[in-house]
Amino acid sequence: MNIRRAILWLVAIALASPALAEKIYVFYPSMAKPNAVQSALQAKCPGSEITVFGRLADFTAMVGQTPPDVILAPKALADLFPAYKPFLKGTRGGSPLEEAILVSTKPVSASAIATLNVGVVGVLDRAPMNGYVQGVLGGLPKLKLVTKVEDLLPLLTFGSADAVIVGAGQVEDLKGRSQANLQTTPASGKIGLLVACAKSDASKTESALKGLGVAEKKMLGVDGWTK
Amino acid sequence: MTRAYRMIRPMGAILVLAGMALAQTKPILVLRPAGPNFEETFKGIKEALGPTYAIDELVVGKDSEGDELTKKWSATKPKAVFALDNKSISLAKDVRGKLGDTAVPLVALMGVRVDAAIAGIPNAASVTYEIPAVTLVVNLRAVSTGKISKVGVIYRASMESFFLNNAQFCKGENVELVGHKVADDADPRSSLKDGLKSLTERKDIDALAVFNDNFFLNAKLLKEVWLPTLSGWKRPVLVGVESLVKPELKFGTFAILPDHYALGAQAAGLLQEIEDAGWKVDGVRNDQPLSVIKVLNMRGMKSCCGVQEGKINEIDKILE
Repeated sequence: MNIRRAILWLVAIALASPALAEKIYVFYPSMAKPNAVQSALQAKCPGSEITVFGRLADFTAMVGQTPPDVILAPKALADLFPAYKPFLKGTRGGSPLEEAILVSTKPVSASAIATLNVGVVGVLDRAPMNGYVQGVLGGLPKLKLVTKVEDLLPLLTFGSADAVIVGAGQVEDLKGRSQANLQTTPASGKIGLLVACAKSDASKTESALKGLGVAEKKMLGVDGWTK
Repeated sequence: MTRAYRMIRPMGAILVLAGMALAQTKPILVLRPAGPNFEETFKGIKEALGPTYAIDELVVGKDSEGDELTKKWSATKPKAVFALDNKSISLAKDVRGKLGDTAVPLVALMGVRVDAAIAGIPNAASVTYEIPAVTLVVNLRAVSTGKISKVGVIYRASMESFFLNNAQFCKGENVELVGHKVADDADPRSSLKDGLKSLTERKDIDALAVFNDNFFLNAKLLKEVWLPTLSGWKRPVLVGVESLVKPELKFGTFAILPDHYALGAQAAGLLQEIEDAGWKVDGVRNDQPLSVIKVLNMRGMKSCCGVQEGKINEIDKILE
């Protein structure tokens, strides 16, 4: 009986050991702080070792230096790592794409986008970010990159940008922080939501992600998953 | 083809490519004091600019003089210079003048009133270090259940333009910044006491914002005026120094501090705009800092106002 118990303990320890845990790197700018997102995800994925990055440069450097098993990142960023293949796409309202919205203090015209200063959270380096935004908006405004979603509002407060661009799911978060008369204008394009990508079989992570609650999914900017 | 030639040819190609790469990088000089905050800002500048800029730095000390910078400047031949803190700004200003190199734009940050420090200097821009009051208020409102529409502040007459600028930004967020102005030659102790009394006696003041001005904010006045005067005042006190929100101090409720990495990245973005304009700064350009670190004194917050459910995960650091 004692030997059997000891074996069970050894198996449990081995299963819980970090060497067997799937290493997951996450980069997804949202209002929630990276440490809060990390704690929330880690609690729901006890068999994984999760690191949530707040800085793009740290994420890309670590993927290069200590490659994880799985990455969770906005599609545009995940596409830069072709060794990682998507196994789940985050969705909102059933779609892996969401409408791009311009938020501003004064009316702006989406058709005059090239004449505007537009703030956006940098999910790529500056040069590829220009191409990405041009692809989404159909024109290239003068971009003001920020590192956090919450930094978009000060761009409007201080008049540093004519508008900021967010996904439809982030509009209420932004408006909820402000008592200014913020206006929304749909842009012409759509933004790819978060995708989960892996180098090899990630069935464990896949089932853990599918089991996330509403709060954790909200932190990742999604309300569901699709293959 | 000899073996040696077969080896030399690819090496030559590599050298040509390396030479081309070097020719495409843009030399940038960063002047900064030592210390973790400056290192973090430097990291933000470097990572935001990326590999097409060759970034060199000179660590400036209290005793640094122009000669060292002159040598560095001449050797680097920078396309632009970042000056972090007032000593670096002053050195850069002097050396640029001495070298007659006003075509090299100067970006100033992390100093006291950097807008004033670069006033009148051609081809210069800055990112203000002082966190605007509107940023304090918006961040407090984002976590507090209480109403925040009037915020009191005590300031010196010489900071009037700073106060008015802040009041204007606050107006955009439906917040009235209620100022109590004190003459620069007033006695700090009595003027602070009077100011605090007049603001805290008003029932319509929802919070106090404390500017980082050592005329009013020092250990002596904290002990003798701030703490005794505010001991029974049950509303939030917004500060710009982390040590002032320690729960055991019973003073600051919410500290809003500069995010140094993001400040560097913001300054890098400003530099790229200057580059796009042909390395020229048009007129006066003083940007406000966009990104902050939030530290909440949870005990203090609970004793004066509620915390919105689910908003705690937007705070960088919580002190219980």
